[in-house]
Amino acid sequence: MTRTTVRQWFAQQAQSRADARAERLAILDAKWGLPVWAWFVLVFVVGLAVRLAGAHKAQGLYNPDEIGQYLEPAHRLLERHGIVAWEFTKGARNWIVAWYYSSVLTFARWLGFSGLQRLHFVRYNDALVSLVVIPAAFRIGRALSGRLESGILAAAMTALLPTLGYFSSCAMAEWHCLLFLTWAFAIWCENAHCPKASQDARRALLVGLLLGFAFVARPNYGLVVPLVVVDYFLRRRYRELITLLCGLAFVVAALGVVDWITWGTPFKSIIEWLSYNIIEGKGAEAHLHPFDYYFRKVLYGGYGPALFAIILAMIVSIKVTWRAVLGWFWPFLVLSFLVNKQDRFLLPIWPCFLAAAAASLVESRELLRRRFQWMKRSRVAAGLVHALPFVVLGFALKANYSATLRQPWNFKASLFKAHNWVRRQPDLTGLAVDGRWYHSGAYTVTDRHIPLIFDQKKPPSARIYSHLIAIDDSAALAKESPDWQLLRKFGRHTVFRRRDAWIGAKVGNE
Amino acid sequence: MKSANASIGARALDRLRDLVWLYVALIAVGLVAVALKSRVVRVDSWPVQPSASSIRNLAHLTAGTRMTASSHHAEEKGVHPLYAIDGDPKPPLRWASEPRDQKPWLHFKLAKVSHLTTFQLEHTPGAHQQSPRGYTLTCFKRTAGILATVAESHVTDDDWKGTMHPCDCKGITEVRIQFDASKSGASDSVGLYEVTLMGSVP
Repeated sequence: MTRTTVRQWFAQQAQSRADARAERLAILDAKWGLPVWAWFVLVFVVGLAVRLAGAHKAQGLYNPDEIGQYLEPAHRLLERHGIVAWEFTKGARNWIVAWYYSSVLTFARWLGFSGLQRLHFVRYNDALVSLVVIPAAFRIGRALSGRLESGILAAAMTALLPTLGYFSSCAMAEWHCLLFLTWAFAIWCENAHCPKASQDARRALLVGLLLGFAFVARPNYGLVVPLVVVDYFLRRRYRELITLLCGLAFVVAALGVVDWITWGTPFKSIIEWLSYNIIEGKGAEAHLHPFDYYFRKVLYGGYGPALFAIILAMIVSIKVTWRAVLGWFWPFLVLSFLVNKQDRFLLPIWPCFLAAAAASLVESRELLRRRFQWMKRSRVAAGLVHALPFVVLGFALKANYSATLRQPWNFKASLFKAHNWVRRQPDLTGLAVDGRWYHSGAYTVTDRHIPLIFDQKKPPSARIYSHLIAIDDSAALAKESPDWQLLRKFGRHTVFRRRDAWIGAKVGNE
Repeated sequence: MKSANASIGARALDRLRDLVWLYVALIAVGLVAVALKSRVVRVDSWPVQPSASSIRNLAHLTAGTRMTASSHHAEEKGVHPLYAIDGDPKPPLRWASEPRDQKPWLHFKLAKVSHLTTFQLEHTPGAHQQSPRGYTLTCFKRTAGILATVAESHVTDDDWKGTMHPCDCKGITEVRIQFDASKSGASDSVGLYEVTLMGSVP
């Protein structure tokens, strides 16, 4: 009996996979002008170009957490040395994202990259991986309205959006959360709007697993889980709900095991995160902004006046698009109540927002057409109405492009360059830097196992520090000192060398 | 055309799926490589710098020695293995092992075959004043890849500032200083301000 049940289960899974594949192939076969697969090729190429351009243009940091929270711990895992942020001594972070980046850095090492080249390798890796979100956006858009046009528009917007192109090369857990969350939404929306009995349980399990991974990457996006759970409950899909919760519990349990192995206590990273942010309220000590910051600076600032057309369309077509609308609006609202606000905290909701926008605009256009039949008689009016979603999204893209240009592209870029040049000096025995360690690239960029010290407002006395990267006042002090010799300038940063360094002077080449 | 599109679409889907799985597999391979990587801490080394005297500190970073350590306490400020061989015994710069490291060691691969005549360790005080100051210094000679012990010196309770201990290690290529922190009873790491291995190159 048991063997038959197991055999039946496997047969069901195989059928479910076969049905899913047949469905995907049917979609690829369909046409909206061009075949869908041709649209995908186009969108991927454009998305790749946008992301590579973003990775190439960004010469500095977006946020110090890229080094402090992800790359430096990854370097430490790989090379067994590195600077340790307080979160990794207190246990407020799990090591999963750091492990991922340590694997990426391993490949950078195997390919012969060192210093700043490794940072660029990570950036290009992240930019490539971020393309995976494009099919998910297509699936959300198509699932909501049932139209290929919505899906293709959603995919195109996700590929083209400059904000995503900028952030795609930033080494941050928000991106990992975005990937998992968007795919969770895609499968959830498909399951809700286009249910297929043979695939429902498998889809529910995938949604649970993906929501779990999104939570592991950014715990504050656990707030999306109740949204999905309530939807399944209200639709009385209890079996699928249990399957979803099993998937979610599996990933969360795995996090507990990882924390147990790395920190000695299960779920320590979650406990410390809750303690720091919620109980002690220390998360509210930096980046403090009023309630409307996200709306003014991020939403309106990112999409311009087209935002109002998008929101109006979402309201008009809410019956059809409410899942995706809630998918971005619910985290947006909750995070607005937290005083600690940063642009990157909203990153995971953008593909869902774009898919909701695309589907809403297409649906609203169809509503307009049905409501105002006379438009069909006028070619001009019909053309204008047909073009409405494209025009609105076009304006949104334009506003987003301007907003993205205002992001920090070269924050600490000169310090990185100075750091990268100094690391190549064969007589380097120790490096002192006038700057924070998480602004400079730390050991990730130094890629040498020598002492590093930071926040040096004056030249250090210990002879082991053969080189100094100084700026402004500290540079002036070093210039006046007879013990230090000026080597090279990089923007505002100046590199000095101690005259009595232990190892004989050999200035390297660029 | 429809079947041609379907086959192109099917092929593209399969290729995309293969790429995703390939990437996942590569990341897994990278993770295994990270996990299997040696835990030994290797610091930078430099060519031998000229010295006026024939007797010199063979451990110093100018002597061309390659130093490795079993661990180092990265969470503490002012800690790095190279501080133990920078010629500066003054606090606060020091090497300290990780508290979890029960048998910390430092290993020196000398630039050339040398004679070691005296050694001195300047210890850091531990948080509980129990930082282990007992250690074993072993001299090795490596010949054709085989490491043979030449001599061993056991120091059970060294002075804080470190006494200059005599030893007679002739024709050696490597030196290891092995501590035993398991008996100290405290969560202290072993800490050293400076290691001095005085000797000459014949």
